[in-house]
Amino acid sequence: MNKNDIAELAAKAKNGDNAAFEKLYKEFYPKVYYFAKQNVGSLDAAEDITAETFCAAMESIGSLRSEESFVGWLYCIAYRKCADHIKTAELDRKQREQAAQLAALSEPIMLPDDYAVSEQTKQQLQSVIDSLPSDMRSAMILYYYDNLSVAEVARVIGTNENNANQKLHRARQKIKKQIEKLSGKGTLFAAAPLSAVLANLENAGLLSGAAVGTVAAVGAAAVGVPVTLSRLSGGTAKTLLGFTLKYWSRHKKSLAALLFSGVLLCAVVCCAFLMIRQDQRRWIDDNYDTHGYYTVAIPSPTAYDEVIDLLSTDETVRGTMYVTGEAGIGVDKFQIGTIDDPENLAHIPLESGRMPQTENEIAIGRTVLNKFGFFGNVGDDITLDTGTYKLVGIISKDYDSARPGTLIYNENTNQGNTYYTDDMKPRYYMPVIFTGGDGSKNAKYSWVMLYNTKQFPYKSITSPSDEVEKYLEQNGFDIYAAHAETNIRLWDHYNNISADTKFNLIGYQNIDLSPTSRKLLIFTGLSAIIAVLSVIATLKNIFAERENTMSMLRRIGMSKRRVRVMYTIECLVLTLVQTALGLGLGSLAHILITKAEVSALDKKDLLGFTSDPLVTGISLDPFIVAVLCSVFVLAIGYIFSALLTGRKRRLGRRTKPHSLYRCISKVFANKGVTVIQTLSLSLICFGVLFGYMVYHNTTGSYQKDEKGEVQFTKYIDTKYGELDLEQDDLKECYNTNISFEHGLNDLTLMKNADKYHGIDDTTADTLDNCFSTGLLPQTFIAKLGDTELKYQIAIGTDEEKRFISDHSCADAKALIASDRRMYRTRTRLADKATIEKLSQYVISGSIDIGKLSSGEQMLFVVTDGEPLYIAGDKLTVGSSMTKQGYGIEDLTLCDVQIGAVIKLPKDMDRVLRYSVSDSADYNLLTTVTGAQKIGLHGAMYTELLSRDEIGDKLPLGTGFEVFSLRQQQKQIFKQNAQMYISIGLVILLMSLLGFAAYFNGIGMKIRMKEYQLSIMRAVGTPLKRLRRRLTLDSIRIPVVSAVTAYGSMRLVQQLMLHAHDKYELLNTQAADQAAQGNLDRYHELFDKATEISQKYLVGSQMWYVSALLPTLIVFAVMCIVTILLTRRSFKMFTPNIAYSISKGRKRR
Amino acid sequence: MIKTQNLTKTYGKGEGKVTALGGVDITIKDGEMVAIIGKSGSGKSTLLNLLGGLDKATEGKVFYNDTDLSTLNDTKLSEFRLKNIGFVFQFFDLIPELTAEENVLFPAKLAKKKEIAESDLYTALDITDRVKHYPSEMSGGQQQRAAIARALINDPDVILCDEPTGNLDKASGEEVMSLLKKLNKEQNKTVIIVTHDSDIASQCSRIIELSDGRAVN
Repeated sequence: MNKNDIAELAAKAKNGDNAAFEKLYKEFYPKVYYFAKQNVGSLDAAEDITAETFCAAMESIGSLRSEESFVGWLYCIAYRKCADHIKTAELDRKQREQAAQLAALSEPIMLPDDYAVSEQTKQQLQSVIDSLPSDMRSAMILYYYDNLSVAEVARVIGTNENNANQKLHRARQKIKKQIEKLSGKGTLFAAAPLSAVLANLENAGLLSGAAVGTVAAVGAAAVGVPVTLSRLSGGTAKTLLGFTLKYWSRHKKSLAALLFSGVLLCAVVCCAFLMIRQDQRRWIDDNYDTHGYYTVAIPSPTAYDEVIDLLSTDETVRGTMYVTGEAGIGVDKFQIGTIDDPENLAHIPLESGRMPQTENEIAIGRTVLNKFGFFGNVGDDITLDTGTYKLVGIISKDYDSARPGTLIYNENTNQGNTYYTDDMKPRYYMPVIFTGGDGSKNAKYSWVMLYNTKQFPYKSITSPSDEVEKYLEQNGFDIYAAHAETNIRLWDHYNNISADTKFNLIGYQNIDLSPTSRKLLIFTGLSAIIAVLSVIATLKNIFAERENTMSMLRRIGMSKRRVRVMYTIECLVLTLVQTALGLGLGSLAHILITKAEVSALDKKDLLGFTSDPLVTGISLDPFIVAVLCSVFVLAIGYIFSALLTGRKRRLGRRTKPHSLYRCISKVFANKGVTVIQTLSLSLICFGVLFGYMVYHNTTGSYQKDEKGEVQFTKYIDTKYGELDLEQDDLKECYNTNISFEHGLNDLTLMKNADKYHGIDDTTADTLDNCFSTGLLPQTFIAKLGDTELKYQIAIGTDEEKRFISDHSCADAKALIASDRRMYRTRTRLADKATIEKLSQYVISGSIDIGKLSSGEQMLFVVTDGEPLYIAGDKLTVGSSMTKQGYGIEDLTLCDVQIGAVIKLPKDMDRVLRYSVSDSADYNLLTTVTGAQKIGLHGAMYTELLSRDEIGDKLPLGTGFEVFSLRQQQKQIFKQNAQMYISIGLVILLMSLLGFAAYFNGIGMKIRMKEYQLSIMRAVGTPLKRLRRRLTLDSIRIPVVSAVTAYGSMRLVQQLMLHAHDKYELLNTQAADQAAQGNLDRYHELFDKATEISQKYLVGSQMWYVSALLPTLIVFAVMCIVTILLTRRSFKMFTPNIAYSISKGRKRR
Repeated sequence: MIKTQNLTKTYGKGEGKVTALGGVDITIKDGEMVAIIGKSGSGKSTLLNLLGGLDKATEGKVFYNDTDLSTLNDTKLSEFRLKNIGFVFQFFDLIPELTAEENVLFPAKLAKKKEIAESDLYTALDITDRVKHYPSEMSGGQQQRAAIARALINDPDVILCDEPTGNLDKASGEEVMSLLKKLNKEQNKTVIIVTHDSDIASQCSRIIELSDGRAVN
């Protein structure tokens, strides 16, 4: 292109011709580029400058004065650009130099094309890297493989940045040279970043040194490495933490598995111990009415002030309960008292109404009201032997049913001093009848509830504090009973208190772990073991995976101590995370469970978070225990895994070659995992069996029959148990068994404790409506010859006769005054058809349905013993009704003749027998119409009625509680749930943990052996065959676990049985001693028996439960799960065997 | 006779699809000793795996005389491999938990072979004194000889070798090669060797070169 052409083009370009400019660009680009390069030296910069020059030229070509001077003008621009560049470059030359260095470091290195696939090349590369001087190698691995910065590398190898940089450069140069030398024969080269090369070597397991035959060299190099981590200063922890974080971020799944077990353990422990505290709070709330540890009974009101002075400050006296005496109706007496402290009044739960405020007002417990047979309501008047009061409140059953010990005495039955509830658990006793007003004036004695931690620092709740004892003794207290469980002794002592003794009695509250808490502890312990195993299993796997990285770190000169420091830091961080999560989760779970319990099971809304020393004194702090567990499990896991890792697998003895299947098993064998799996599964199995037994025991009870064989009777029998019901429509029936335990006055209507039969909900409601009339009828035989009958109606003492008489109608008064004997009996009603069936059992007289229905005759049914009457005998049969429960307000007397005496044989039809006979030795029997004719309200209609029939015949029923079968089941379920919800939960979590460990194990075993299994496939083993073999191998674990668990359970049962026998023996001995009046010995033996009973859950009858069926079920489930899981794990095997082999090889 | 028909193997789907083999038609006669060569990534190992039934072809078929491998299920294919094919891998791939002897006898036991001339085999392979040892206690050459013994124990007609000398030093590699040659000559076994070593390839009676998943000649 000549000058003219250029000028011409420039002119065109000036006029906006882009094509012309493009031609100029093409012509001058190389020239400007060369010019720029000469000026700035760098190719990159030259390129930039050239581009910038042309851009500027294009923009400002309009300002070009003469087209001929285009070339000079262009170079001018270029020169300016160059000058600008050099100016800027000068400013950050230093930075740029560094950047250039770094860029040089990350430049790819030329490697043989097949470096990534050819093992040969890899090994060659390996030896190249191995041949580097140790400091260079260290620097290189840290920089390229671990992605540390040059500064960090410098810090790690203990030098400055410049030096590190140099080392890295030299290392690169050496590697480059070596590689070129090695594969000089025209091999294809590919550019590869060095970091990828190192990573590739590591994947192949070559970098670890263990796989190649250079172990010795590596060792020597490692020892000779001058670096050292030991010289590291402040940056050490950070760098070590860096390694750790890097590993975990690459192995999130392992981290999740590890934390799953750890967090769950921490949460389970935290939650369980919170539950224990909660349970304890509820238990104390149920059973103890005090806020403090020491309850001091002060025999005389005058001594009260002195006690306050001696023992308390304002803080310590939480309330005084004045016991003013005993009150009751008839013979049953209960403590009556007042409380002066609103706080103490407030904690008493009321079913309805309020607590009394004046002396004329009264609040009574529901159970006690039932005992009185009082069916009135709040607002009614109630007459006790201490006077007539206005009933202002009914105390809920929760409160007073836990204190039946309040029944003080009963002369007739001599039962008053039995301070034990049904489950033989002694209770602390308190009034369940409260009046208002100032009780201090006429109190017989008062209970001061103390809570004085200032004077008596809390030591141990199970044994009284010496200091307290000393203090009280010094101040004139006569210490008597060690704890409230010896109520009888307390009571005896009360009776002996003389008025002039100053202070006589101190009862220590002996508060112990509740039975539920004990069980909870066992299961928490079991789940902790499983969690520890699970954590160890996971860690073991993780450590195996990290072996390569670790040996590399060791090779670059990290001392053993440093490795330990690193693991410790890691362990600490993990513990921190795990604990925080666990505590949060545990607390949350506890709160949620409590909420659910409160709403679904009517449990008390008390949480386990408490500082109440009564609770904290007995149970361990949930958070501390959880934290300790969390720390412990990881520490153990780390120590254990660190010990196991790196140990060479022991090769078996060289014997004759094994059979094919043994060979497969041998390959598959993973002792560590198998042991952990077996242990986990055994524990779960044991837990499930134990849980089953606990539950089984709540559904019924074992009793010995006549033959001495143990029979299990369910509390609810949905199939109506022994009753062989023939009629199809009798699907729902009801059975009520009213027992009159203590004569006329004790009208508690007890359900048959052994068995409930039920009716459907609708009928139950109908019945309930009918029965809520409050009628309490009773029949009795009022006139009798000389024959003594059982069940004499006990209106024993003159006082009682008077009392009943006062509350009775005129006829009844006359009857009582006449001094005629009354014998309680029962009248049963049956339909004609049923009665006709009895004709074959008549032993005297004959059945005349007509006369029965007219009320003229009744039948006398004898079930046991000799008949007391013969046909034709005349009786006065009385039927009483009462609304208040005491006195006879409505009396019907009628004269009837015994039409026939029927003796029921023992082997007669059960349904029939049930329909016409009471469980008592004898009863009267008539028809419904007959009973109605003579107004016999107290008759019980006991024929099994179908749903449709029952409605019409109800008026003859009595005031018992009615439950439908379903309601009954629900109630029992609720009771059981209340008792076992927390245990169930812990078992559930435990199983979750255990199964996780087990499942993990199965998958892990197969994954870890992918290589071996794939080789077997390659040489011709069908997948099916391998799977079958491995499944069979796996099933051995459930087999061993089931057998172990069953065996252990049998052992536990034997222990319990043994304890039970001992318990029985001690009780018998105690009774003997008591009979001989040897009370001290009696108490000793009794206490011993109680201890055994609590320790070995003797009350549970668990030794009777057969664990075989649940074991088989659990075993079957485990087998199925194992089979399915093995199948699933085998899904990882693809048709591409070669791929599996190479994948597995890498894993190895 | 081994014959492939339009043998194709692709990995992945859609845009990431990689064709390892794109329609290979080759025929190998009984008693031939064939080397399959090619650059890395040319599909030679894939071809060998497909020939040995270690992988399933995406398309096309492999015939052993009249048997079409693609019609066999895992169990039948395993049995076929067991009886007709012996594999020799580059990494020997002995099962580390088993002794050399157990490794060698494994296929024989699997095939329920009663009479096994293993001692002859061991003598021939010069590993008699190492048979009770575990692979980790043996040298590379010994391991590879044991692997060959394992491949031969069921007297298969075809021996497939994937870089059999790749992990061996020169001397051991030569030994292995002469062994394979001997088997080919004396027992008329069909030997197919995948290699990138031209020395080895030159010792075979025929060379099949793969390039970009196709047989060049």
